[in-house]
Amino acid sequence: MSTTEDKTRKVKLVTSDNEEFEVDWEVATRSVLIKHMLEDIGESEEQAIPLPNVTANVLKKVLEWCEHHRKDPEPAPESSDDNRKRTLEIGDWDAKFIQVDQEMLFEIILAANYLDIKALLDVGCKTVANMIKGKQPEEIRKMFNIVNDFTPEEEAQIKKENEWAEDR
Amino acid sequence: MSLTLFSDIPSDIFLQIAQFSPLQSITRLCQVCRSFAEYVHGDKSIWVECLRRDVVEKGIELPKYRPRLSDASAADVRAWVKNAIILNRAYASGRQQPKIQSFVVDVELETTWTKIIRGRWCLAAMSNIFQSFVGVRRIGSSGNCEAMNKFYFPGPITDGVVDDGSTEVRIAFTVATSDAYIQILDLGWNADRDGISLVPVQSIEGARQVFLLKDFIIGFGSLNGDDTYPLVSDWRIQATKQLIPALYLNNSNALLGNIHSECHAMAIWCNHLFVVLNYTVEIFHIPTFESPVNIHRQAGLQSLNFPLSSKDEVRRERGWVGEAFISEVHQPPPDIMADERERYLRIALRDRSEAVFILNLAHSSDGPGFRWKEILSSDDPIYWETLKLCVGSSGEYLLNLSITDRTLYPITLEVIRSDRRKEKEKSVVHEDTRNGIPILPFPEQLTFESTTTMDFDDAAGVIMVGNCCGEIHIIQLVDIGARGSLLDNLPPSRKGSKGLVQDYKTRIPMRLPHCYYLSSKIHDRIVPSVVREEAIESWSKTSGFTLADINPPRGWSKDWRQNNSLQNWVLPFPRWCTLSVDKTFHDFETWNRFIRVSLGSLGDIIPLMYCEKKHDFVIFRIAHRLYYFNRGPYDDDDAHRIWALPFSIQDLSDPKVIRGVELRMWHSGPLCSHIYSTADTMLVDLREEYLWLLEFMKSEDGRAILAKRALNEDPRTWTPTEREEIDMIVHRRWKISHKRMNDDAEREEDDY
Repeated sequence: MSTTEDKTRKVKLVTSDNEEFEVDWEVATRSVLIKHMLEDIGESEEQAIPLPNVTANVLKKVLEWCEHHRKDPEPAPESSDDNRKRTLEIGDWDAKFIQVDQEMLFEIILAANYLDIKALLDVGCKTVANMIKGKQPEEIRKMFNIVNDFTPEEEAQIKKENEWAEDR
Repeated sequence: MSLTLFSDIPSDIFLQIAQFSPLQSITRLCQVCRSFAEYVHGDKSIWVECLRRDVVEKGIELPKYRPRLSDASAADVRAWVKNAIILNRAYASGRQQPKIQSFVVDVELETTWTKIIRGRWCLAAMSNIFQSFVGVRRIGSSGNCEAMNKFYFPGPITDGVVDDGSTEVRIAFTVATSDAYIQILDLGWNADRDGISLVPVQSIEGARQVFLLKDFIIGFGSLNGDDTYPLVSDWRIQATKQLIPALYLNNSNALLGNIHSECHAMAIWCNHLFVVLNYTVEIFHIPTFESPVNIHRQAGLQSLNFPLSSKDEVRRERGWVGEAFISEVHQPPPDIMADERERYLRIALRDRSEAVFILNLAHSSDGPGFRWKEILSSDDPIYWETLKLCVGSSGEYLLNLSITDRTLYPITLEVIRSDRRKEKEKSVVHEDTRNGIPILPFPEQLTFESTTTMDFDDAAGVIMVGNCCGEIHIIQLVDIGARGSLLDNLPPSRKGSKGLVQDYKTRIPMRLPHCYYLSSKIHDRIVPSVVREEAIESWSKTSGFTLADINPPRGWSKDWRQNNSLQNWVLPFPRWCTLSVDKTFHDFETWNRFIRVSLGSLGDIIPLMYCEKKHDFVIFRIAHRLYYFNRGPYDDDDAHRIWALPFSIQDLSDPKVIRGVELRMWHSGPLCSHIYSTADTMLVDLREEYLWLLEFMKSEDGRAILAKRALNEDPRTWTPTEREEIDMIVHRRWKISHKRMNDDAEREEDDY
């Protein structure tokens, strides 16, 4: 397929709650999943692609990200894995983009994982990592609404076991 | 799909988050709730990521004796990460309280060699004149040391090396009996007897000072008292080669006493053999061994001067190696991280000015050969006032026994990171600034003055220190707890190998010269006849040239029975020298020992003839090199001198030779002298002259003269005319370049 055609081509996506989105091919193919599906169907037919794991409000958000990053170079496969992990910084636009409530944050992460959008998944995971960073276990529980199911003895024990990683 | 609780997060996403989280976040996550704890503890990939990111990439060492990553469990990998980080923090801060276990074995014994194998098997060789043994202690899982077996030998163990292959742990050490030899043994675990076995594999008669053991190659410093060249052997077939350093290659037979350079360390790296001499590193092909009968020679490929030499006053005393260690700079373990770093070889050395240097050797960027990785700037010792040095098993850390003014106690043990120099460049560091980490916050816990031997496993954080008062200290820098599975057991001992296995488990009689047993008499200047005859016989029987071949000129004698200063030549005792070979301890100073300390030679000191009027004016030899010893005036121990003589040993059969040379004025400067107050300044002269003579050898005059000596033929054909020529040239040059020193020396002469 030639580049000029790709740019004009539209792709239809259907969410789990049956909403239909029509987006540019270039935007949709930020998702490796969608890209592969498009390749499978071939370019002739104008067929809508079902995304049963994503709801409309999440997909909207995801597509907003894809739209902004439509011109980004394709991430190189596997080899760049190491470099990707090393940079913990999040770009300005991405940082603003990911300022959402917690539920949406996790939805975006799950969707990015499902749709196979590595860069977006990274943004999400880095955000969560940043939220956890420097927090005490109790603060983490509070933040994510997690129940402490340790007995006080167990808690003391596990605290002691993990003391070595604390910077003193 | 919806996610209301973070705890429902799928595993692969949890891992992604963990990968972006610092270690602290990960360990805090597992304190949040049970499912997280199980998740974090059970997921190997999280810990593999931490191992890569927080340990290996940061250059923190892991023990080499561990299973491959693919064979390890999540708990193993977590324990490795934990241990590496705790230990690294201990090195960085020094705030950990180390666990010290001290054992007084017997105050009458001296510890002469220690080695930690696989982080938990602690070997200590201890001896006095009545017994010598290697004792093994095992550090158990609780951190407690448990005494295991003892193995007896007929002489003290003076040095040793270990080759820890995966299937066997092989040890080679020098057993200093009256006929010293190197013994090679396999250390193993005997399951039947629930104990350690030490099975002899081979012995190399007459060999001493072992520096290298790698598979079947053994490298050592002298053979039958001859230390002219370092030697390597294939111990299986007992075939030996002399290594002729490239430094001497064009004048290999012209080795004068002041050019000769002792071996201090050896290593095999990048298919080459590296030998550290006094001022150079010499590089050889790894020899092939053809014939066990003849000793062949192997010529050096390259000689690299230590890049420390400089003309300025402070620095010229530097560079004469006191102790040297070679280790390959660590590569990331291939099972953990694939990327290759630049390979280089690290040489840590303490020179005789008590300064510590770290030098790195790398492949030449253009063409074959090797080069220094960086050239040191003007003030580069990473440490001062070091008495004894020990390099950690991984080469990343040094253990430094030194004098410090920081604590009240004069001698302390510190850990230095080898690449500290990089940090130093950023800020100005004064000579006396120290940023090693003291091992013991209260060093008076241990008296380090008596330290004779140290070993250090820096990846396990275990230090072993032995002293001359029968004590062994095993120091565990951190209390680590579970270590994760490691391959730190000894290999099973091989049974049923050929012949009867002597297991050294019963006490055996010592084979030492009589002088050791009668040393108190010798201290009182009485030489019992048995000692005298024994000494004279041993001088006569060493390689080829004997006292009988000497024809002393008038005024000189070779009749040592008449010498009234014989007590100075019969007791070497350097094998039990304390603290450092470079330090003289004045409890009983013999000429023998003075010479050994001054020259640093590994070979036998053999007195040949003495001046009849002054029995302490002696010509002696070490291998084929001739020296002249001249004692100082009475009650001045600092005034003894040693000169290297410019003729060969065969010349001594011609009495004209000695008469023809005004010994004391040969090139008008002492080779070694104690006319200055410290040993350091004495070494300045030695080095100065060494460098200068080398320079001379390279000059046209020098080359012409060396060519005349038919160097590749018999080394000992140096006719008197040629000698006079050299004498003249040398004299002239010496006068020009060393006028001041000359004056000093001459003034000193007048004092006699």
